Amino acid sequence: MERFLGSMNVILSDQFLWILGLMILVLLGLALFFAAFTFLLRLRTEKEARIWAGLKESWEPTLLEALTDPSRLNALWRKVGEKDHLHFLEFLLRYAQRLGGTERDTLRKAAEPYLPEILPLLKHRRIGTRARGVQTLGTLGLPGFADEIRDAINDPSPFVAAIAARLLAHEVGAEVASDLCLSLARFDKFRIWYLVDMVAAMGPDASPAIRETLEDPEMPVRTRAVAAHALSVLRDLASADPAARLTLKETDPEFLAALLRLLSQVGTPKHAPAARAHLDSEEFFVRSAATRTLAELGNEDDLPFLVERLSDPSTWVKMAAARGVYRLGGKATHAALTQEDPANPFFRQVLAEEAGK
Amino acid sequence: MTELFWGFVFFFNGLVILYFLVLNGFYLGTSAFAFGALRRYALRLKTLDLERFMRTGGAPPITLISPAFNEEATMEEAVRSLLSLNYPDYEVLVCNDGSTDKTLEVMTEAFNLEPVDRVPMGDIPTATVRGVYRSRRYPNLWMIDKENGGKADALNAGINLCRSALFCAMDADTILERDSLLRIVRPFLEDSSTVAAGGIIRVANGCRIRKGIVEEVGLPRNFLARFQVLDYLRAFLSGRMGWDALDSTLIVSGAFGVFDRSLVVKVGGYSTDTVGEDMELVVRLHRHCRETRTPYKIGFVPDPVAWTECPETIKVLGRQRDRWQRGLMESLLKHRVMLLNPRYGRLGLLAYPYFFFLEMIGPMVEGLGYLSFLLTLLAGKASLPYVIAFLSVALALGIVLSISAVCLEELAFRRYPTKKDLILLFLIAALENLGYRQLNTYWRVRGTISGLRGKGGWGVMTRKGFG
Repeated sequence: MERFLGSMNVILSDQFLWILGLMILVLLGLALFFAAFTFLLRLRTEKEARIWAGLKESWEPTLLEALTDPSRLNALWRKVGEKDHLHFLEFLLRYAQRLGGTERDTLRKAAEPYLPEILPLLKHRRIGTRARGVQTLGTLGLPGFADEIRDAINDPSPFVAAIAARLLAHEVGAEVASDLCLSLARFDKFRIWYLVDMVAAMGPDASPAIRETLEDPEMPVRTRAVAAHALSVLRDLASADPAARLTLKETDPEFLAALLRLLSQVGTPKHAPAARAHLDSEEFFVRSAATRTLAELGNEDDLPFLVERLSDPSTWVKMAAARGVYRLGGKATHAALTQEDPANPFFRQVLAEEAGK
Repeated sequence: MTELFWGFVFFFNGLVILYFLVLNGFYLGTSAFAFGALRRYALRLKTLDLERFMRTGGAPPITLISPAFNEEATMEEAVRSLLSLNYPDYEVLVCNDGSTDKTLEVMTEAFNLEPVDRVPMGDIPTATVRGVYRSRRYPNLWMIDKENGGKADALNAGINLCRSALFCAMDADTILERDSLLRIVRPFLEDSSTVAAGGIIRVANGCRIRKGIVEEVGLPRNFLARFQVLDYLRAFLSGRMGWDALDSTLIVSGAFGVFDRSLVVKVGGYSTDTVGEDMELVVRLHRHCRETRTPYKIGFVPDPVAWTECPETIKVLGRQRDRWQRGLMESLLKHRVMLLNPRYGRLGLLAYPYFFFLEMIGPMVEGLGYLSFLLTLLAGKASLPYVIAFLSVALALGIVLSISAVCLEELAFRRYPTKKDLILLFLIAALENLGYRQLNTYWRVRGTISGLRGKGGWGVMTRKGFG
């Protein structure tokens, strides 16, 4: 023990104290460095804000004039200094994100001379910079720079690629439908509704290409599910027959649910058997989709199927069945069932929903 | 015998030094990771086009679940603020958890609530739900009236009635910024395996708030609240951002977090037998997904902001920190199988041991360390210069870490607008090491002891309100 205490004394010798002293100095230096860096950041931000405010003050009145009278664009361009081209695009972008129609066209025209300067940014090593480049070019430079934005769909970062795809869908539309549908597999990590919204944004003219994707067995099943949901959003009547056919041979539950949902939107009574065939699916969301579809497409003969679903283990299916019973059987059937089971909360909720309509 | 005693004391002092080095090593490490991550994130933020996102859809519906207990004074304003959020499709579900004041009456009157039927879609056991109400004026506002069962129970009742794929758990007195939902939903869109995401919590004391909206950000006048501003910056920007960069987020704050409803229902909802239900749920989600080999992601998003009122008295703050420590302890002990278990990957080998040894046991080591150092010094067994030098290193490290958190804030968000605010924050970074930090250690030791003794409960949280 004495040896231990002795060695502790050695450790606590002057040498160790010097090391601690040095550490204190280094740490205080580091603290000062961070504090100074923070201050410099603040000063830089304030300087940038001042520059930005000055530029805005100089450009804004003329831009507002140009939005109503595009001949004023020359006057606006004269105010853009050599070093301010990217700032100017940034300035236009803020307006472009809020405006549409002819005003957006004027903004595109205003940006035209400076857009080539964005191109190097698309190859920048930083993801954020590439993304910003794609966004600026896509918002202010389409359809002129459609090829560059199309290339960006193959960017190594799915984040950049998604911005490009979304811009193409919204700004160019049906023209890029085939390319976009082909690229969907790149976005396998994205939530399906994000992709559905992107595909549906191309509008009804894109439906044939989306339908082709739906029917293509070579396409990944998730891509086909996206196509089914998008066609459902677009209410593409022509996709009802292929969707019904596919429900008979496809087995992937997510895809099946998407097809059934599509049928509920665009199907006719002749497609009701497709829904009936999946009422007993193992997956609750497929049963739920089938129940809802049957409620849309079926007739009074389907009531027993729906009533059977009222005792499904899933509350989602029960709810869909209760709504379906009300829809197909009308108030009378519903009232009779309610009388049989007055405490059934599903019936009570359906009645409340109907009353609220 | 005496020699043995002093041998033990020296050994313990060594242990304290080791703890101190490892803890601060972790802090510096997460700060470094956070620095890189925030820089990248700040660039990405520039591409976030919220206007377009609002217009074009693709944003999944969200149900906001706000548990309320005796909130008659603040509820109306809080709900009005929630109803004005910038999000295309959301419902607000207030869970009146058996309030003994007039919360229900105030809400009924203010929002014209009427009793309605709404079938629970989940089956998490909760205290009896007495009724469900819906606003005639705001169709997306619902209120559940239930018997008292605690915050976790109220959240579970809300989850049962939630119909959207995502829900947002929050505190009744939290103010969400208008774009916070649009921002927090991003990881869910970009990665469909995301099952939970937390936003940043900021201190509302000192800010100018009108009609549930933070109009002007400022530092609080109260010193205790100022210390907490720095606490939150450090915890979220250095801590959670850093852990997120390591894909090891173990805490999503109960004041603001979005979750995948079906998974939360699958794991049984919030645990009602812990005061740290928020952390426990996140740890359980990790565990479930790892054990069932389900791909998943739990993340932290630094730009969606929820403002909260922090305690301004030592008594209330002490209770809060005591409760946090108990919650941390209960969660970690409940899932101790994850500790140093390679089956749980980086989480089991890095994040869990960090929280277990450094955040859970650490305060005990630190607290006893203060005593043991004092004892060694008083007994003349250690040289005064050495102790002073060591304490100075600790002080300097504390200052470095706090200032680096301010630096991270400046790098990405710059919420505190004046240079005076910055100077004050630097000052606080130095001052907090002289008393506040030790007080925190004391509260956490107290929390650990009461946790070990099995003491439950939340304690009373007194609030001044935002008005």
